[in-house]
Amino acid sequence: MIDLANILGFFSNAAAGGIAEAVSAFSYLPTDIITQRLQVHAKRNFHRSMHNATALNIVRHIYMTEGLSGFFRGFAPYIIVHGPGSAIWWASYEISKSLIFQLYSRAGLHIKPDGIYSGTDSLKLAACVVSGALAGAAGYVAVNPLEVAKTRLQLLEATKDADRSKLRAGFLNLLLEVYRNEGIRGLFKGIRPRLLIRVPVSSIAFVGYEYLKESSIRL
Amino acid sequence: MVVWLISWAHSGLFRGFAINTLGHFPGQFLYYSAYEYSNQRLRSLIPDNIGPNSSRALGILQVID
Repeated sequence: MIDLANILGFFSNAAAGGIAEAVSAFSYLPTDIITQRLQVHAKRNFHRSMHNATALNIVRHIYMTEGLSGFFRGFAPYIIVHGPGSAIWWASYEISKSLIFQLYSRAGLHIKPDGIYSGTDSLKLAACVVSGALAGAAGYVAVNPLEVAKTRLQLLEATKDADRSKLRAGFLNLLLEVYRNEGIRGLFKGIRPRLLIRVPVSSIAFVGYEYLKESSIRL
Repeated sequence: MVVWLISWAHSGLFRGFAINTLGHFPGQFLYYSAYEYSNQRLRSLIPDNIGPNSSRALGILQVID
């Protein structure tokens, strides 16, 4: 049974997941922006002044034309899309793990208190792998509609003859438009390949996280 | 040969790989550190008298006994 303390604990996991995403965005966003521009410049030469599109040239160009804020473009949409995903990811991982542990204890299986991940406690490792996969699925299914809207918005921005009114209407309106025109299916486009990649990655990430956490506690 | 292979990969499918990795290493560190820190802080706000094993619940059981 899950009691009130556990439920508050899951809320804490979710909130911490959202906070973590916002903090790490300060590192991810600038390099994401530079990477995207590097990849775009490889095909098209948007800035004729930039003869050689190296990372350093792009950094210089962004700083000269947009200032420091240029490295953090799209911070709000990034948080809107990835914040809830991270919150759901962590909370569903902890919920699933605690439910599996309860099933273990009901079945009379005991997890070693010092829970070593080096193969001696395969029960804990199995719980971690399964919970990681479930969390990956839950997180990415919940966030897929937001990802669809974000991708469409980015595509619109990149199109020269884009309908500017759609761009001005913003993220939420685009989300509603996708739902109106294509229904629920439209909001979950691309979910299969995304899950195919993200579910195993989520499992591996949690196994690594738990292993490193236990190792660092023991130090 | 190796240099050619690296430069070919970097200019094609792996364009931006180095700079992306440069952001993802500190990004991952920040992400998990921020998670651990904020989760611990938030959990410390949860009062310890609301679980089944809490001091309050155990106190009630002692009274019933």
